[in-house]
Amino acid sequence: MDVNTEKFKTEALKALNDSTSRSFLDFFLPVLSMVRDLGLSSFPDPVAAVEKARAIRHNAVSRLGDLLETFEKNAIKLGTKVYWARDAEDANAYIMDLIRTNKVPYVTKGKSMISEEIGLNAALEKNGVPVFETDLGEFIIQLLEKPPFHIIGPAINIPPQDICDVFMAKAGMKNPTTNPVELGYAARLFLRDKFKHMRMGITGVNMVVAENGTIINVENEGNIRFNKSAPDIQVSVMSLEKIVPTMEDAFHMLRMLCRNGTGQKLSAYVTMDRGPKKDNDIDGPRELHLVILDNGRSRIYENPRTREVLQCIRCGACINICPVFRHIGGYPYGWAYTGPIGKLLNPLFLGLDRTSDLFGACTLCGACKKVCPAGIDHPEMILYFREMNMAGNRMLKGKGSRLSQKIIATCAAMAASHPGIWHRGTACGRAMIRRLGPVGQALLSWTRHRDLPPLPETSFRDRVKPD
Amino acid sequence: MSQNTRDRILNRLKKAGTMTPDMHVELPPLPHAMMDSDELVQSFILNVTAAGAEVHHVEQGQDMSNILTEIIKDTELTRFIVNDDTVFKHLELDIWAAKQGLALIRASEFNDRRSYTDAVFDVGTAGFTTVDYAVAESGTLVIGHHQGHARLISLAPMIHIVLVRTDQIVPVYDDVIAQGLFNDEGPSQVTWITGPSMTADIQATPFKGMHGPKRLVVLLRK
Repeated sequence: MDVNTEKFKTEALKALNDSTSRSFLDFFLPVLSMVRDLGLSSFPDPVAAVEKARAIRHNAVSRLGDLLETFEKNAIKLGTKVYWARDAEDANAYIMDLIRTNKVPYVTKGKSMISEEIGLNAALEKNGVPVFETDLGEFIIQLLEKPPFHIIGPAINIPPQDICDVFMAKAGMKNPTTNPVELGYAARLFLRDKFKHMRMGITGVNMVVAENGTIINVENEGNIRFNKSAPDIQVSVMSLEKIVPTMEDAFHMLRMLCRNGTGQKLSAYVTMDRGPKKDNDIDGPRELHLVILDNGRSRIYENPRTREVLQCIRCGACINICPVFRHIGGYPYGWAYTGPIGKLLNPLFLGLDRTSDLFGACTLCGACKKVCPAGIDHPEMILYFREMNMAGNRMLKGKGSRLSQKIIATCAAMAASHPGIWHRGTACGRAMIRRLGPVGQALLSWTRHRDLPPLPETSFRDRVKPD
Repeated sequence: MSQNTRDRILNRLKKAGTMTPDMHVELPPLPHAMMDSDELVQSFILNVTAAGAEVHHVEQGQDMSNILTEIIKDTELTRFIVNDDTVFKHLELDIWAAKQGLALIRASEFNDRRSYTDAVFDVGTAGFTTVDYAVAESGTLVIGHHQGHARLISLAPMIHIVLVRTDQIVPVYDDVIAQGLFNDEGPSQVTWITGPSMTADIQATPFKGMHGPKRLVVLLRK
């Protein structure tokens, strides 16, 4: 997947002027947040249910190494072939090797963020292997060559006429229509043929269970079920943090994932894989491969200030509530992850220097942290990124600060720690700003996107100071 | 390569180690845990209906025949594929199917995977299965897949008909854990079905039958 995080500001401006997408954001995201709240209200104690989920994710990530080792042992016992991939290139090469060895003519895929992260489609297509996304939204944006707009509705903002045009051109649709249901059935018809003759299906993983080696996927359409039932070979790709200790924990996280994502008590289909098919089973994969991907996560884990991000379950609750995302949608984020979680993951995978506009574009309102069922403190980590970016942290690839910024920061720190200098400085600054007037203010870059209200003659402190 | 990578990853994770003590949160039980059997059935019906399934009560074989006759009316169905379960014989499903001119085939009767795949993907096919359990808390059907219960018969056809006994309804998901579906010798896949296949990916317009069944019909019998 191309990295476009450095175009955040220009893409955000474009998105702000896109009235079609804006109308969807205005309608769709508040509805998703509302159904989330309704879904959680079905728990006897919704607050405790969220706290329980946060505890499960915290505890799982705390002992990640041990859990992964236990899981691997149990999964292998069930017949799953486990491959540990160092990075994107390693994971893609393993999958490509499976395709070559088994002479697979094409692959179908279930929606997965991790395949976006490793650029799997591009890697396979570069090697001449056709790839068919099978989630409806992903299928549409694959044909249109667009990035996902939203984690749950990747093509939710695309006008039906655009979908009609691309289906006529690339998906064998015979009769033009802009009816969403008819468009959906046209996609069903086209992909059904792919499912019927498929040799290899590739999916992501929502979670695995350490105590018994189970691999779990959550979906509504049934495409992931096809990818795990129809082919000879199933390849599931998981990021190494997607693990819970027990089935009991898995069930609670499923309850939370579905309620937080779409407000459902449980999605239409949850599949739990327990190894490949048995010899006498008539369907199911004869080989089940699980790729466990690091791609920098073990480094993220080593830093106690960033480890918490690995607790994420990709429910999308933070995205739906974020006031910035609600205005600009997913395109400006420029890589696999969007919204508040994208402001944490993209910088950690790509470096602070290429993503500073992402974590810069945050009001620190804390809505994301409040709704997160995994217990992630997004604002705290964003502040940490800003600090490390200015400090030029080498591990996180911080940009470092300019000389002028260093001088300003040093002066501000000195003034803030010396009350006398502070009071004289603010009085002086006040007088200067009052003299600038509106024309002068317009010349300041600070006021380009902000209003600077007229300042009163005396400060609040002076007015309330006892005589 | 994978072994070296594995060791390096695990060593790094273990070396970084646990930095904070475990958190513990006690949850009040879900209301379903305190329900009697009638309440469980009612809760199951409520939830499975809310998820988009149709529910019919079946007291005896005749009821089922009437319901099935209604279901196949105005369709192009030519065959039912079923899982291995003697209940279909007891309910004289084969006799009803013969009267309707429908073929009734068990998935395990197919000689090879190709002919099975052709049949299960055919537009004239409906899937008719039993379940291992049903869960009241969300109206979910639980199926373990093995030689006698193939995966695609509840997925590829446009109609999936499911026979559920009321004594198969358990209160919550956790009640299924101890029932053998997750033993090492158990099924290779356990599927949890809550309503028909659905999506709202175009203009947030919801519709059923995106890839899997458009109709999920639950026949509930005591």
